[in-house]
Amino acid sequence: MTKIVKHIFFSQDKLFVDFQKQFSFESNLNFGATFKSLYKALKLDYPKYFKMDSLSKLGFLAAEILLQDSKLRAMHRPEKIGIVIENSSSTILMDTKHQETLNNKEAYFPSPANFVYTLPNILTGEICIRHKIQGENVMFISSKFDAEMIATYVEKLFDDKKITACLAGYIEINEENYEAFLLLIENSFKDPINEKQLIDIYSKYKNRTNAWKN
Amino acid sequence: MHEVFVHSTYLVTSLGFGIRENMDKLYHEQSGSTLIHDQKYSPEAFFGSKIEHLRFATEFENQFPSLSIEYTLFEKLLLFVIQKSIQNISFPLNTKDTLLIISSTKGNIDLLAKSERDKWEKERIFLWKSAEYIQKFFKLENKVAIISNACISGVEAISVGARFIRSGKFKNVIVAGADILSEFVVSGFQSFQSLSLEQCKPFDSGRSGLNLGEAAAVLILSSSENKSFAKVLGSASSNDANHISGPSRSGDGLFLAIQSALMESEITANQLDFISAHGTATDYNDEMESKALSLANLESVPVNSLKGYWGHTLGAAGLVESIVSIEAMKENKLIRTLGYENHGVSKNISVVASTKTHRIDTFLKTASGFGGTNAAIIFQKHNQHD
Repeated sequence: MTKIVKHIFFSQDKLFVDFQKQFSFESNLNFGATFKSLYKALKLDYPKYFKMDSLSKLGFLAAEILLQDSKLRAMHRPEKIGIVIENSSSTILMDTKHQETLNNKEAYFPSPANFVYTLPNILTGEICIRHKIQGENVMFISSKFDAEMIATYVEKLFDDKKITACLAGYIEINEENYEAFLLLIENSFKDPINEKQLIDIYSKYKNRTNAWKN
Repeated sequence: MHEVFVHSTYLVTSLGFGIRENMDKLYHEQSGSTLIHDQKYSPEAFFGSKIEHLRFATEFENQFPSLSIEYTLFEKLLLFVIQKSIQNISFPLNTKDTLLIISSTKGNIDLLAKSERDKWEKERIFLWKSAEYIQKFFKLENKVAIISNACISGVEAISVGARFIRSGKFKNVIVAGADILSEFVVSGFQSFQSLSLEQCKPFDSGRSGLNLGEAAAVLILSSSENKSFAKVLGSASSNDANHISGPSRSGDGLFLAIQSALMESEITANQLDFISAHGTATDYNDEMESKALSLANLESVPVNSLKGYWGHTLGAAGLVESIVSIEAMKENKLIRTLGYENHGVSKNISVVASTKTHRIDTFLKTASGFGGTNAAIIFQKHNQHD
């Protein structure tokens, strides 16, 4: 049995926590500048953040907000905390950057610092390092947020007693936009989470950000 | 809870096409890796493992003589191995009960190169787009699930598939994986200075890095026992939570995955007859694995790495190595760790140094990768009583 403890949604310069608007940023900023403002607003001091690609930065910030004031580490063993993330475009921004270093044979300079970020599960790795998460971890690729996949798989991990807590959601960034939807799920005596619950929460956020836009 | 049985398998590697060709070459200790001088992949020569592309083109054409759509190499490999594997299956697969899982690290990444970019629609670079084409081709009812979790993708795809069957969500899961050699990936590993300029030497004192390879493979899982020769007992993944590009120094992450897989399988370490390790032949990976196996009390269990035969095939690695190890279990054979001569890791693990007959009923397959991620899965021989 599980329950959704907290959820966050960050897209189109707005950040919501449990449906409440927490931050909004100037809409004329590029997302790099938006992420930087959020990092500052959170008063973080984590030098590794500046080495990350934008996908990892987005996931990292989403997890920071989700786990602010959380007792996750006190309540759960590291190997019993799972992380199940979906994404659509894999690491397309860093892929493009790495490819550009190969296009000119006279100035061929592939960089290991870029290359490592051409794997989408580096974002889960960064979150695991920051929050000492050592349990089940998986990166699914899907054309859009797939609530059924997350609900079914996460519930199975709880059922099998593989985990007692889980970060789950959808972290996507591409040339046009970014979106982070992240939930903290823990075991409890309540009913298991289901696909419909996730769809309801997600659609409510989507409607809200679209309303803001107009 | 449903049991999970392994059914038809198929693979294409640098050693050949299908299980028999691959097993014959493995038993004869032949490597598919060579020095590759090809500007398509790299301005510098590197040691790697290539599928025989001309033969593949011919066999693909024979398998699918009249296709109306053009497919990329990555997609063709998946279409081919899936078609070959489903030919031997007696139950229908295009129903609501069947899921296809694709495992890959970089899919169609070769399409990012300047020379390819204008030939394909923009979205073709994404794994979900390839998956849509494959779903349509085989007329599969369900959306394809895709796993891209670095070098554990293949093992994890089997693990996720097994969980879906155990939960009753699906009756059959086709687990397919592929990754191809590309300039993108070769240059990246070169920049890490992790490519060896010679045949890779897993767990050896003179190991000097990995060989990259390309491969495609399929393994079909089902809750149906009929004609199955192996089953999945349990599996797990874990994270080092230590470093994104280097494995844990202590091996604790992989150890956690092994421990969790053993627990789910309801067996103890001494019931394992063999371990198919990741064994990439980089300094840090092999050392970490030796420590993890030692922590799990597995020092005396025969362990091999198959990377010397076809290199590191990334998202396909966990699949090809599981498939071949299942076949070797069936035939009670331990396959030599090609390239291993002098013990070169700190723990006294039992690296298989020569191919020999050995009773295998249960074995462990492990994998580890960038992002600090690890996976473990346990297979057991299944003898039909009918």
